[in-house]
Amino acid sequence: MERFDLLANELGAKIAKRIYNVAVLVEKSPLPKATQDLVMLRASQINGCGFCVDYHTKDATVAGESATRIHLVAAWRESTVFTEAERAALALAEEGTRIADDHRGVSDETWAEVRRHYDDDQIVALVTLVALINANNRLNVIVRKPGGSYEPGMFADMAN
Amino acid sequence: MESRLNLFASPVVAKALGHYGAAAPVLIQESALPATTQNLVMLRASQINGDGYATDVHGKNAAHAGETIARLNLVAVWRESTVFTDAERAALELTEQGTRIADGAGGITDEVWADAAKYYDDDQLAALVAFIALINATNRFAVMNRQRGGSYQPAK
Repeated sequence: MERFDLLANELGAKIAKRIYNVAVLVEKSPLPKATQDLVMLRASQINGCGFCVDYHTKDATVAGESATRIHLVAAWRESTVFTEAERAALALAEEGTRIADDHRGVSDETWAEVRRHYDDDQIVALVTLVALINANNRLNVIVRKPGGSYEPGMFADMAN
Repeated sequence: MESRLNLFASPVVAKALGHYGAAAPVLIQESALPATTQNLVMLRASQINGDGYATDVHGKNAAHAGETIARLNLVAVWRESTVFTDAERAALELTEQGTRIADGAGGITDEVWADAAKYYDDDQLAALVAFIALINATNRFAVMNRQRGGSYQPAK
């Protein structure tokens, strides 16, 4: 099903390791881990990345996220289960993901909401996370890496 | 947050919605379309339309009926997933095209229809079309009225 195994290639494995280490830096940032999972999940849904949705829903579940909240990420705007801060992060994730031609980028309103709820370190982590998950979505969608068989923790030793 | 309007406060609309609400159980209980496929179809259309209420309802109903969390979580990205059958993928494809019919989208392709017809008989195809049409209408009721998802409880 997968078209090309990026990790089986020496250069691909090296690049994956660097990307993973950036992700670890973001993960250890003061941006709440639950918010990180919501952001990665929403971008992955928009980009149709099966592998990433599988990965981040399972990781979020292991971290204690409720099934109701996970199910409602796709329709967060019309849901009651997310905080104002999480909604600001999700709005940034959507606008930051849908930047292709015919969209208008990230609005001043969304940015002001992000500013209101997060400090500078958290904003750096958030912007990096949106950029990084969009890159990862593309790596996996382009080689058609499907979702369904991710096991939480399977990439834990990639940082070394 | 409260919904914007109580639609049932209008007697005429309440009467109309009564008929509308009566159509769904007929389809759900009497059609030959597998219940698991029904849930996948309703969930995917609700996700595309950003209907929090219906996403909450159909996600929880499906889980209550025994659907796995892994499959539910992958409905939004079914195309790039390994957990759906070819028949389910055909139904999901028809759902996506039938939901995204707005100007410029191109409607339902012959390929997608032929693929659905390969897996479903006429009764099931008719049910599939009816489900897709009804859930899209339901999504619009909820989104226009800002009826938000989060607090639905499946019937015991």
